[in-house]
Amino acid sequence: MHVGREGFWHSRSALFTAASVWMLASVSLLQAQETAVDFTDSYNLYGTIGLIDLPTASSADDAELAATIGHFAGTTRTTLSFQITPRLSGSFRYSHIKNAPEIGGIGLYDRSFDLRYRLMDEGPVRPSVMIGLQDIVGTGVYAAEYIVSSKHLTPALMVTGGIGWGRLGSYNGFDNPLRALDDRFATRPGGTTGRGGQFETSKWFRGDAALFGGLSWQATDDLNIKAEYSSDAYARERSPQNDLFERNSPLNFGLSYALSENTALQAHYLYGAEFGAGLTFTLNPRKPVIIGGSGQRPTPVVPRQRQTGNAVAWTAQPDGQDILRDSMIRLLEFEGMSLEAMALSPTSVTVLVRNETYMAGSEAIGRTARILTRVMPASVEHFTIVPVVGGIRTVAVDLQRSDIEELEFAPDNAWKSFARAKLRDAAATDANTVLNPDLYRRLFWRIGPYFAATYFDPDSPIRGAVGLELAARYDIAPGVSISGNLRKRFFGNIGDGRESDSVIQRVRTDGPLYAAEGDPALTQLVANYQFNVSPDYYARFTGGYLEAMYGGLSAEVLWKPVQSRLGIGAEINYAHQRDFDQLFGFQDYNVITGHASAYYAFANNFHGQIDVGRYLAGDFGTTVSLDREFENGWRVGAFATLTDVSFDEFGEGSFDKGLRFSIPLEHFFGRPSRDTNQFTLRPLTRDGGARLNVPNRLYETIRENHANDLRGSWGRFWR
Amino acid sequence: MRLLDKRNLMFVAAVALSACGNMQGGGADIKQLSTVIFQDTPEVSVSAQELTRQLRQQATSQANAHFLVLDVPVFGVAAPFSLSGTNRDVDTYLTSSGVSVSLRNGLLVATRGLGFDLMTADVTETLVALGANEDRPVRIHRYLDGDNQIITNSFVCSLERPDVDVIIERCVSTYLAFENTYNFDMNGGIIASEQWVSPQIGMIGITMIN
Repeated sequence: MHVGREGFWHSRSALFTAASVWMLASVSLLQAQETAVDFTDSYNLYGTIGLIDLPTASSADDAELAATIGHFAGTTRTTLSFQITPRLSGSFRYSHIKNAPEIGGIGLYDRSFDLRYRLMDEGPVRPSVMIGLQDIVGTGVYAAEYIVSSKHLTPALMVTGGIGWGRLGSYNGFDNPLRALDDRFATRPGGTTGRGGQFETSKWFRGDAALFGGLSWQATDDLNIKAEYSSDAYARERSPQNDLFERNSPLNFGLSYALSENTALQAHYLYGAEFGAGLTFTLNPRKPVIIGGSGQRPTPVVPRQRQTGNAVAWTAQPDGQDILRDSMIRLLEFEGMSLEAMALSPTSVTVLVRNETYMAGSEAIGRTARILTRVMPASVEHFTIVPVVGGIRTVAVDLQRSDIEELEFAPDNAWKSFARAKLRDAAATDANTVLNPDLYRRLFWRIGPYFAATYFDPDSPIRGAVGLELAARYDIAPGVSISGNLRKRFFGNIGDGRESDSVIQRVRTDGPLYAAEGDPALTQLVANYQFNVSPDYYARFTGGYLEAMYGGLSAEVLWKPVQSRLGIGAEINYAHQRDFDQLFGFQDYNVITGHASAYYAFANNFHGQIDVGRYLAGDFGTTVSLDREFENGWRVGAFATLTDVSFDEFGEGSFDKGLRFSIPLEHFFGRPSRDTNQFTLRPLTRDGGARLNVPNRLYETIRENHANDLRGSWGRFWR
Repeated sequence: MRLLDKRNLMFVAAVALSACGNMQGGGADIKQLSTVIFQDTPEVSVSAQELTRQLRQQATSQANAHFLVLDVPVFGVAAPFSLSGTNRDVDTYLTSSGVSVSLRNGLLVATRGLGFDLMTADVTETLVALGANEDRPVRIHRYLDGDNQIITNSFVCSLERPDVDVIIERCVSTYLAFENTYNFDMNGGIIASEQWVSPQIGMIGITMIN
């Protein structure tokens, strides 16, 4: 569309008319109510911070997650937004656009992905400025780029104006001003590259541009009233294919009402024709329900008396060690931990401890240290605490008892205790330890509900199943165990998906068949052996029914020094495809798969991982993952895999990619728990770039007790 | 009260979702849930005053036991705490239900197990000021934030003596303000006090039994 200069001025005058009327009204209202209200940025129909259908230049609180469902005129958009850094945010959207009634059918299900970056912060005079890329991957149904600016005229009134391209340049557009840089900006190419799923950079900021703007007024603490002038012509929705509404006006009016701190309801009147509504839930990983958790108090430090008499007389007592060990077992158990083993000398003690309760490794270490002051004879000054995870001694933390005594109530005790603690490799710490006999040759089991879901099936946005899961583990010796999971579904439609249309080996697209036939399903049954090889080196062997779709053998070795931010590992697996009924049989397909992996914890709490190797379909390639991690256990990340499966062979989406989340349940319940809910959102599940899901991978097993993670959560040491 | 209601709701929700077995992980664990704050404290319905009176009667027969009664209005709960031990000049009192408070010469320096706990408080200046009639002591509180980082709040305080055995300490920081009240016995020790813990917990009442 080419509207030219006339359109440019027309749109401006319409904008200014609307703006001035609105401003007059709001200024008079403002005078009536001079009390300061907190301006709250609200979410728009696209599920990003904005007005009604348009963006503003505001960002959400750092780390905020927001889920929005918005609907108007046959269009429903469900969006998950994440404030990745204070300036950068990303949104993933799943939308549905209805077809015209005479055409019928299910309409269009579309996935879109946005990025927004705040270039400039608002100051006393200058406005904030945001650059945004909307629907940047694939078909580009909602593709638009914009530069938008916002300024608070009063604390409660914010004005926004911007220039948009793509969708946002489709109403009253004018020649692209960027043409001054290069003539290529004059026209916007059509179509989609290849099989979709790729960045459509060749379209960005090209074609006609248009102006948009609006106002947002915080009427009360809970109510935000908005008006906007939209430069989106909604050409697709008004085409004969969809014929969803008449666009009578560029003006939209709406309000956002905060039902609670985390829930907002939006109501809109759009384009002089349609009513719309939206609902937003927000959640900030940095704001758990109970800060610090509701876990019970630790054992108070018991300081030694100054006169301790014959300090080492206790060593002569024959059953002394047993008594001390039993006391440790009892007190650790009271606080949700287990003693694996203990080694005692007249002046030092080493305890191997299993933390079954606390998300932060530092809290388990701090609690153990205080228990040691209660149990150990006065001559024992050196404490070495070794957190053991699945039989692996993850780290040795050397603490001085006199420091624990001194720092219990010292004002800056968290930092001081970290500075005085020594973290070192624990491979050599098991000499002379006395095992706790009760922890091994023993069955641990749990029966409870499970919920499984698949997303973005072409016919149904979400499918789920609910049932009962039996999990059991038999520990034979440190690091040697047999474990399994059995699931019985009660109800759900998870197996109703379409049959695979994959042109390569079907390694993941048979998911619906597994879900339909696997009832009951043996989702895992493995024997596992993992151990410290030598300082900085760890190894694991796993065999059995590794995951729902594959059985086989897996071997892994990992190098990860305690103090290092870098870890390097290698894994090789033989995987044999299981029968759809997920019992004991196998199908014909088998493959040797494996990866070399590098893990790196960046100083800004981002965590990167690169895996290079062979995937389940025999394809070779690389997976890159980046997560934002929080010290409380939350993780939000994204990953992408490129392999030698061509984009055409891969099918829709071109390559494997997705978002992943780790959500600690402690956030919602407050009580201490190591349980996390992990889920991965893939726009599409295909067969290229699919990795075997092996349980007990080493890096995740050990990293929580290495220096970087312990340092980050050391505030919990004295919790 | 709002907090308490929320926790009750969460407790109900957690029980509904709970699993059983002897393995950690997966669903909620009944044993852990039993430690929900004050859940097993029978004195819930008894007022702090009544509890104090009863315990004072008993205390005459147990001369060596040291108790205090802690009143937490935000939970609507009062409970007896017994002295567990002393590290340097800080006394730590416990309940069986998993809460502890630590007092330095009667001044609250730490809580654990309440949620939104006071991790440490540096009350050195306040202690001096209480004894020496000085004014404007600064106290420094440390808390965990939602991401397990220690945050520091420093308060500038002023002392007022409305009565010979009462001192009121009024403290302000950039965003917070509170007012602690201390009642002294004849020997100059604090026998009863109302002290501020954190923005979410607010004030707690502490009454020494012996």
